[in-house]
Formats: sequence, C-alpha cells, structure tokens
Amino acid sequence: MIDAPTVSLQLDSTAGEYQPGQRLSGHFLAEGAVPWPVRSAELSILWYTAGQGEEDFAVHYFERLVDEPGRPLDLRLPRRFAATLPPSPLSYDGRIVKVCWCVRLRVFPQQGPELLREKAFRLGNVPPPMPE
Amino acid sequence: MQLVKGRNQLPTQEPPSRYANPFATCWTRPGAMAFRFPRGKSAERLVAELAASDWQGEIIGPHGSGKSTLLDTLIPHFVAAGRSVALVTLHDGQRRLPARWLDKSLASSRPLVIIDGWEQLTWLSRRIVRRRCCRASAGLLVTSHAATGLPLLFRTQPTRELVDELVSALTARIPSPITESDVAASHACRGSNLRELLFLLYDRHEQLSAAGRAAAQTTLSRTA
Repeated sequence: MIDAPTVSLQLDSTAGEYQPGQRLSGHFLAEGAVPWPVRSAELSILWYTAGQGEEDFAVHYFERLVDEPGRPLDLRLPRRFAATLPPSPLSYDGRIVKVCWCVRLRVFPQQGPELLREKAFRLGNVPPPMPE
Repeated sequence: MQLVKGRNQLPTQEPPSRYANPFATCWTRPGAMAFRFPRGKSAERLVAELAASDWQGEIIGPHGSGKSTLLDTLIPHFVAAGRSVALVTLHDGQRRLPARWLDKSLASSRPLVIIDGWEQLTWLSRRIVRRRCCRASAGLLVTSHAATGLPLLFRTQPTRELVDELVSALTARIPSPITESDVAASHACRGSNLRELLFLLYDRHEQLSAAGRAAAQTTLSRTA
C-alpha cells in the first residue's frame, strides 16, 4: 500500500482577499516521487455559512478530474484552476453567523480514505462587527 | 500587520471559516459529533436490546440532551441489522406526521419507524401510529422528553464529565481560548441541555477571540 503523499492547494494571490468580479486562480498537486494512484479529484469554489443554527452553502465553481481505464490520475503534475468570483455573498465574520468562502479539494485515492484540503479566502471588504 | 480599509480599523484577520469556532453547528450537530455511550453501553448493545423488545422502544431525555445524536449514531446499525429505517423529525407545533409518510414507511420490508419528537404528536396521532405499526409488525422507536409507554431503550443524561469530554474533543481539533471556568459556568447555567451549553461556549469563544483581536490592535497602535 502506498502512503498518501502531501497534497498542497495554493492560491496565486498570497493576500487571500478578492473583490467581486475578480479572477481567483491557483493550483494543486501531490508531492512525492512515487505516483499515488487516484480515482478522482474534485475542486470546488464555494461559500457556506457557519455559526449557530441553520447552515447554508452554494458551489460557485466545480471541476472533476477522473482516471481513465488503466490510467490512474497522477496529481504530481500541478493542476491549475481559475474562476471569476461573483458579486455576492460577501465574506462576513459575524458573531452569530459567518459567511465563508473557500477553495475545497477532495481527492479520492484508489485505496484509503478521502483526502480534503481547504483554502479559505475573503470576498469583499465587509468589516467585522465591533467588539461589545 | 495590515489594517482593514473599514470604519473600525481592526487588524486584518484570517478569512471567516468554520475552523474559527469549535462550537459552531457544523461541528456539534447530530452526525458531526458521535454519541458518547456511558460505560457498558454501545450501539450494538442498544440494537440488540431493541430487537429483544420486538423493535419497540423509547429514548427519553430533556431538550438538547443528545437524543437526536444518539439516533443518528444508531441508524446505520439498524440498517446493518436488516431494518428499513423511516425517520421523521418533528419540530414545535408539528402535531401530525407528513401526509402518506406512514403509509410509505410501512410498505417497505421489515420497517423500523423512528419518530424524533414523539411528544409533538397529538394523543390521537400517537395512538394511530402505534396501532398501525403493531398491525404491520413494524418496529417503532421514538424520542421524547417523558415516558411514552414503550419499553425504555436509553435515557440521555449528560453529566459534567461528558461535557468535559466533548469540549476536549472539540477543542483538540480547533483551539479555543475558553477556560475550564467557562465550561463550568456554562454547565451551571444550562445543565443537561447540551445544545444550549454548546451555544453558550460558542458565544464565549467569539467574545474571547474578539477581545484578543482588539488587544492585539491596541498593542499594534501603541507600538506604531
């Protein structure tokens, strides 16, 4: 059995702050000398709410990479992604509810558990609430 | 450190994320957090006990004490035991089951009807459900705040030890500035209502984190 390698997910902008309509881009790759057989990988750019009570989410961008018969995916080559961000909802760091944006990568290896990587980013400039 | 171009001039924080608070619903809702059985009890054992009582039973406990979380943990075991599970969760004021829900549930093979929030139903609805399940030889498992007349399967009674165990598990993944005295105060305030207790800890975490950020900004302003 091959151990799961380190999978990195990077955004091109190091600031992690974007404005509506701006293009978000980045890449992901598996590090390691040995190929790591992967069935599929899913990359999504999404927002969700977190906090107390009901939760909501929506996927803004989705991309799925799948293996071919006899040819498992080799993620050692960097895979690039890019999408234009929508006008809303803007990121918000409230006390009761937070609106969170992230790039989420799910990797499904041929063997072993699913691997999840997330990179949070901020959309817009809504300031956080003032402390009480 | 950068400053937000906003009116309050707080230091730029990490982007908002579910990883900001270990007590957010996404980490504490039924399904996200596994039910913690007391010593001598397990999911397998409860399934065996329910089978022994002809798949009739009740889970009793106060509001927010973990009844739904227990159900969520047990359901895969019921399915593994060959039961067709039909679950409905009733909320405040829901006095009847959804239309045709019971018909559909009883039409499946070896049905196990699970009603979360049994006390919401009217007396007549409860009687009809029990009679119909009995006629169809279906299992019936309910959660309630008080005894229903069905065999008792489990009583949820969160203890201070359980609260400590849950808080430790949640904060092991996502660190929190809350202290032992915060946990003790929340437990003293909410007692066996785990849901409300975790809400209090969520608020306390937010309060302490915001105070920490404000203190960091004050230090930054003084040094600038």
